[in-house]
Amino acid sequence: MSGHILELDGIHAGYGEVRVLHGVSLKVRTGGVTALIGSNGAGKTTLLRVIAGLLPVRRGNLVYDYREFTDADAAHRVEAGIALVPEGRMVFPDFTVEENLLIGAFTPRVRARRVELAATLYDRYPILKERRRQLAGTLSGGQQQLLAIARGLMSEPKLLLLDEPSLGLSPQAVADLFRMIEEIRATGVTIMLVEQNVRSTLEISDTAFVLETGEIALSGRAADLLADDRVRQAYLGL
Amino acid sequence: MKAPSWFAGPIGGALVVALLAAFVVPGMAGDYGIEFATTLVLWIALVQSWVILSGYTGYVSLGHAAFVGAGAYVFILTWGAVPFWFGLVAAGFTSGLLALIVGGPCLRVRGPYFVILTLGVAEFVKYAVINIEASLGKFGRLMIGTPEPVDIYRMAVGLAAIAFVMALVARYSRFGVGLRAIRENEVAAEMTGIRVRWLKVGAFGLSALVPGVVGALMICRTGYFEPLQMFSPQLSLTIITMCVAGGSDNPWGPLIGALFLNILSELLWDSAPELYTVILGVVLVFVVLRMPEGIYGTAVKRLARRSRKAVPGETTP
Amino acid sequence: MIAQLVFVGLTTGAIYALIAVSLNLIYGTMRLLNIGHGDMAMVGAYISFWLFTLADVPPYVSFLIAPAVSGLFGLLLYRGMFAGLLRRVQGDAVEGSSLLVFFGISMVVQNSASLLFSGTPRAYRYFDGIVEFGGIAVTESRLVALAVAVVAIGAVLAFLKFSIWGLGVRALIQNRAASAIVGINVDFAFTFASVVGFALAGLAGAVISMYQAVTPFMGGPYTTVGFVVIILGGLGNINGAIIGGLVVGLLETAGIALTGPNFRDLLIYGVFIAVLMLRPQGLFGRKGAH
Repeated sequence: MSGHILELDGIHAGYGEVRVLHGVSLKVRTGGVTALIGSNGAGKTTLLRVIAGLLPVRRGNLVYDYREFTDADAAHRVEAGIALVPEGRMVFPDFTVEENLLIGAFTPRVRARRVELAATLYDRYPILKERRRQLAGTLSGGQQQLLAIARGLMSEPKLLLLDEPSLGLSPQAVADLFRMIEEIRATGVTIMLVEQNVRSTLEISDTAFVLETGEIALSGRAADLLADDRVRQAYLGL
Repeated sequence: MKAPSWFAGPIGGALVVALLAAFVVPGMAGDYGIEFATTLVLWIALVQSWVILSGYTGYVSLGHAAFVGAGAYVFILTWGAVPFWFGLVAAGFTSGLLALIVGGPCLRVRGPYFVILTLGVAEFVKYAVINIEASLGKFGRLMIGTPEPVDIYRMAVGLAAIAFVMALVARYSRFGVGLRAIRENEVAAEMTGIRVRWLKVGAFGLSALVPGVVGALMICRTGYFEPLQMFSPQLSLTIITMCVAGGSDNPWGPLIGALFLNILSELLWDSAPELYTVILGVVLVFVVLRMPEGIYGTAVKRLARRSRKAVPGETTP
Repeated sequence: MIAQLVFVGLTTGAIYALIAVSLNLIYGTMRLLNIGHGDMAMVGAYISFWLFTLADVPPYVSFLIAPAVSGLFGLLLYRGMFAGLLRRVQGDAVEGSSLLVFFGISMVVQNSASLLFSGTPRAYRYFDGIVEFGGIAVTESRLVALAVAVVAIGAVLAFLKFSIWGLGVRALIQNRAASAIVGINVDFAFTFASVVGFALAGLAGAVISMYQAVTPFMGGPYTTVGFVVIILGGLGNINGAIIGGLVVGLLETAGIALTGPNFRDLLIYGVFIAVLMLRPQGLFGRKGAH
């Protein structure tokens, strides 16, 4: 597969008086994993929120699937196939596991098939089936992360945005998570991954962008960045 | 403790205005004028006391009616038994004490919970007094030998001056810095070592002193105590409206709000009380939606912007 | 005697529950504190009264017309005021600002009604026969009130439980950002909650008008009770509001029977204060759920 599923051109965004992104331009190839790395406060989460339509673009252009999406609201983007799994997971704590999955298929494109979509995910992730009647707020951190990603998959996304999925997980849960990401990638979903865990991330990524103080500082094939001196010094502590 | 010099101006000004109001106005105005002025000045006292807690910390209290009512109740109970001045002071301190007692538990909850809780406490106190009075066989109490309207007016002016100075000192002292830090971010304020709990309860207690005395003066005017009227939640809501209309981050906004609404009330109340309340409602909605900083806050901002524009070479973003 | 009291308590409680559920729908989704909620019931009560008095429209027809009018009112208020407010302000400021705006609206609505219809209490007679069963004697109007409240609350619950939109509303009550992420059109859901919330308040008023005199200021006590109930049940907790409504209705009835009507308010506010001070998250709320 070739082509670009997402093209950002000179994106500016921020919160109130605070400007976070100062002209971010990047192209995400269709298929595979694209990593977005950078230090705290560089604007990674902000960028994902902009792509998901939770934060308005102040200046610049956002093209998704070769269509203009700069001003589309979040609901339209979910319908078009963008799904965000936010930092801190944000599962619905008072919903059961099953209700969390079903609400993930709220968007009209998949709404009617929500029960069968949930059944598919139960087959893929049996732990969810086991816990389907349990309140999501009572799951462990790793299980909540799994649920949050599964909820994102319920909308059958073409572009899955994962924001710090390994945050607060045990080493075992992190290993499971990265295996899960590779499995999802194998199903043809394009993944955009924001992570603190730079080495593991670059190892499973195809392309990578380094975001620094609201701008793209570096980009290239993930394998090349893994060998790049600047990346090694700044993010790998070598 | 000596007041810092930057208090001296406004405090001196307040004193001069109060003296003028107390001794010049009665000579110029007739009975009607004095009645109007007394009402205005009592409202000013109420709004100034309200901002100390609710304006500065953002804990919006609907409990002021309880303090007015409690003060009035204590005053009527001691009426004739103790000297007049003693009754006034007792009224104020009873309300302050009431605030300190309920403040501890009330101020543990925040946001909408606090608003609703203070309303609940005020209503509870109201019905408690109604039931006590009913069990004593009293349905309203009359007072005989209340002071002359002019004297009530002068006391009200003095009270308003005290309330204004309290609000001013509370705003611009270290105490006020702490209170406003609570409004901006309570958790952060606590972590920087501000004793949040003490400040809040202290501010609640302080803000209840003046309304207790106002309650006493209010029943002196009518010569009658009736719990439903003295504990009316409408009173608390009117205070909020005045403060919000003016802007409640400093003593000046509520002053302007009280002036504005009292004049409006004077123009409309007698002929069309309902229309007055409708307009009051419209004003409140408009201010909250269109001028969230109130008349005073918005005016200050406009003026500041204009004077900044006058400085050559400086651009506004 | 006990059965009679329980029944009266349940009918009172069912109306309280209806008011509290609609109040909670508005608060839970948008975090708007509607202290004009009882005034919407007043509007519904006047609609029912005037339709009956002027046009001989029976109250059961008003049960459809009153909610339509108050629902439209909710739509206009949301579109005209609160959509903009919710876009501009966030967090605790929403609750504070909405409280003041609704207070203003409440003043306007109450006093406009007073200007138009005067303060005279008005009442009409319909469904005023007495029904007796199992040693209980109740007026038909109370029975109808209970039935309408049960049906309306049941419909809301069924919607929330079984419809995907209901699931969406419940999601929105828990977390607005997460709801946007899964593709819920938040603005549409807010509009929906405003219309349904206001419509149910109007319905409650139309029902109340059958057995209570209609005045411009009848809404205040219902607003207060509504807030007492949703605090008891937990702000934003729909099931809590239903249980809380029944609890307050039974408590009120028992309190009046045991101590006389004077202590009714003291009792309600006493319980309310105690709950807020001891369990601010409500009797059925989880700690930190808010």
